[in-house]
Amino acid sequence: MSEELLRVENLHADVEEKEILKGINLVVNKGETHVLMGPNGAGKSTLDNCIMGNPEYKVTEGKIFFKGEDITKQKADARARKGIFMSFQAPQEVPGVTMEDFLRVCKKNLTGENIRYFAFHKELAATMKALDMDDSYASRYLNVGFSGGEKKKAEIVQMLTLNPTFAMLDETDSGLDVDAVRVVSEGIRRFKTDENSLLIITHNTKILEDLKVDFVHVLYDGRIIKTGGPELVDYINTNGFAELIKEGE
Amino acid sequence: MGEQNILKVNPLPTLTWNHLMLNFANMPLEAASSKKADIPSEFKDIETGMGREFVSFVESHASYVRIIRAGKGEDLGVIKDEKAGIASEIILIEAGEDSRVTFYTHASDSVQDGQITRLVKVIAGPRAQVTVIQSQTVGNGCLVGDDFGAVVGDEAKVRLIQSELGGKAAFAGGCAALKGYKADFTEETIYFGDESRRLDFSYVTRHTGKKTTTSILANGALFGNADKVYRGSMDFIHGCSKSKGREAENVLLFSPTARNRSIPLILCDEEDVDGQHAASIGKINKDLMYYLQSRGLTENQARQLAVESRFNPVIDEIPDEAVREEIHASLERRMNLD
Repeated sequence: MSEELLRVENLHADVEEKEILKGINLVVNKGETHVLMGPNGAGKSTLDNCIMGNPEYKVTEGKIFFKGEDITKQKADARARKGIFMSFQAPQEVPGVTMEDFLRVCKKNLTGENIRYFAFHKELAATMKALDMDDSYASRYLNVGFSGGEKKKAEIVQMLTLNPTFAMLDETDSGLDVDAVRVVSEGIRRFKTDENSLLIITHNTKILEDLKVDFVHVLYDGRIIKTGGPELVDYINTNGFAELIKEGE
Repeated sequence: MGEQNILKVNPLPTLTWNHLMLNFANMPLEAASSKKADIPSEFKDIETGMGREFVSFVESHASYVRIIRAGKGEDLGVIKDEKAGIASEIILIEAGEDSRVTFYTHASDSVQDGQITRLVKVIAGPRAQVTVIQSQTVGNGCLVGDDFGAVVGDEAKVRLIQSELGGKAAFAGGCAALKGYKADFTEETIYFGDESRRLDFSYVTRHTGKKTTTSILANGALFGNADKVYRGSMDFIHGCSKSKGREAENVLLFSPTARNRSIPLILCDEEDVDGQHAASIGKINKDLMYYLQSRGLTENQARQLAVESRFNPVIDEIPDEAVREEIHASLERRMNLD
């Protein structure tokens, strides 16, 4: 039997007092890759942020369980320490803190172990190389002066370095050229094992080509209106969301 | 115990309303010996940020006077203040044309009480490059005064870094007389106020040469009942055409009881100049806090990182790893990390 990692039960959430999520139910088991699709404004990023614990998103009803524990009221840092990670659509710039120092502090904090400087440096350089990212970025201030593409790659570097159990990728492929999408997709593939799970928000199915997708969910107006297998991606690519929305109403 | 003097320091170049209590600061200093330091005449009239009363006090009480002279084309590298942490000192730097020198002094938290007064004066000849770093992380019983004055010659570059992170009160100032053609002055301050620390700053640039440039930047964080005044004044004197000046201050406020006052001032007697000032006062951006917390940092750790991220570009300039580490450790303690 599959081991349950994340369970979202009847989740309702407000942003600035407007209800965005209207009863989301979702279960992600260990080892699974889920894809979340839907038109703009459907609530996809809101769901990611609610799972991560963004205080700007207010959960008004329902619960979120992670590894069997109710985390609905926990702060983002507590959730991160339990193994949840989110790749941001618009990562923040952190002037004054190099990417390497930032990741070393985070890794130490997440694992509770002392991080050996040289081993970490070597591992980070190898990760960056695999993502076709110049390792000089490690000694630059995090995301400061990075291009849009480099910021997205830096998020994947963070995911690979911090090695969470459950990672959410919020349109990590948006704004990337074809080659960069391929590189990021390869990074995601490297990350994925039977021990961790993914929830990917995307409009660009190119990023899914080399990944084994287990479930595809279509979100519309704050609800999941359709769940299917990877064949749903092809359907949406050909037909768009209109028919599915009509069926769901 | 010596006699206590109340000095008027950090005067504004032009007075504002008295009731605002910002025209100068009262600095209580204890008089010790009254041996007058022997100051070479060329350094005597250099204006400083903290003003005449402070200079006169330090000249009367300095137990250490050091003169550093860099000859034409000479590169003296980095010079460390061997007497850092003594009660009162004067450093005089004369940089000849095309010379280079960096001087730094750091008073650590091994100094817990008493008072420290430090005065640095610089004469930078044509194309000379001089950097002066004054930093301190002294204990909460100590009073600090860090003063600086420079005369900047043709195409010379003078840079001042002041890092004021400790003490029961810290007064700091700097003044640059930009007399030469294309003379350049850069000043960067970081400050940290917690408990009931008083912080008082005054920076003045006097532009007389043509095409002179200045950049004055302060980054600070205020906690508890800290009380801070920051004066940044650019004086464009008639004839300094095509000169430019930028000043900016960024303050992070972490307490409703912390007091923050800033007075940017641009004096202008020359039409063809460009002077700008900007200030941002606020809390750490919520999106940044969330981003940092989503990587597992607690609120305190995220806050520390956000403050350090503002300070690090300045701390990184201190050419001594042990001092940099001490500053980081001091900040960590003061921000009460979990």
